[in-house]
Amino acid sequence: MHDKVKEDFPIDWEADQYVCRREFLKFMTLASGGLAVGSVSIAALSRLRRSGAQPAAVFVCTSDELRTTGWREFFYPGTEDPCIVVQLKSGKVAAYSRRCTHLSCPVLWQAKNDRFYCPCHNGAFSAEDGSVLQGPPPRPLTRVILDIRGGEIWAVGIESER
Amino acid sequence: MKERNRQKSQVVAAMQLFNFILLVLQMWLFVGSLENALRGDFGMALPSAAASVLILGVNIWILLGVFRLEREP
Repeated sequence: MHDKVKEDFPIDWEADQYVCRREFLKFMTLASGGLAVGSVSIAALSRLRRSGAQPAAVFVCTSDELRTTGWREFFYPGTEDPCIVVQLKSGKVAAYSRRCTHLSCPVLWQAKNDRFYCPCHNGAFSAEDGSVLQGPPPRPLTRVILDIRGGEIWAVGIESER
Repeated sequence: MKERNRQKSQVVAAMQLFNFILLVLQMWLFVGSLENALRGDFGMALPSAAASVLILGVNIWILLGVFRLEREP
């Protein structure tokens, strides 16, 4: 009786769950395809970035408003891209993306230290050039290019290659 | 016949290993170009994509080779 069952069902239940080498190779080739698609997407994105013009200029605030508060939040280039414009101790005006380059927490302006602080993981960035002062952020903050037109501050572009 | 099957098995194992090494290389290329892209440096993106597609071609060739090997008597 047992032999008959073995003959009809030669593969054990457990052995049936094993992945054969052919299937494993198929899976690896599929993974390779996924990685190739990812790499090509990055390359395509880079071409688009290079050919694309800077986003449209956005009004941020007036110089007087900035002088009063010391900093101001605005959204650039999209309505979901928070940025911050600040007046440094030296009187210079600078603007950066508010997203921390570590895990995208919004950075806070610390006027007395002339720096941006990320409370999530104690990261800090220089307000002079956006460079990392401390903590885990791997890259400087993305800088927003400003244009001051007769007392009005406008965001006119993003400084991408740094 | 048994000897032939043993040889085939070894060839398949070698192909599998080579495929795996290429996949690791491809992952490294992908992570490297992604890291650079997030930093705003897209200089590596195009060569990395070309290399990745080339590796995919080699992997498909290996897979077809294994299928062909299995079909052989």
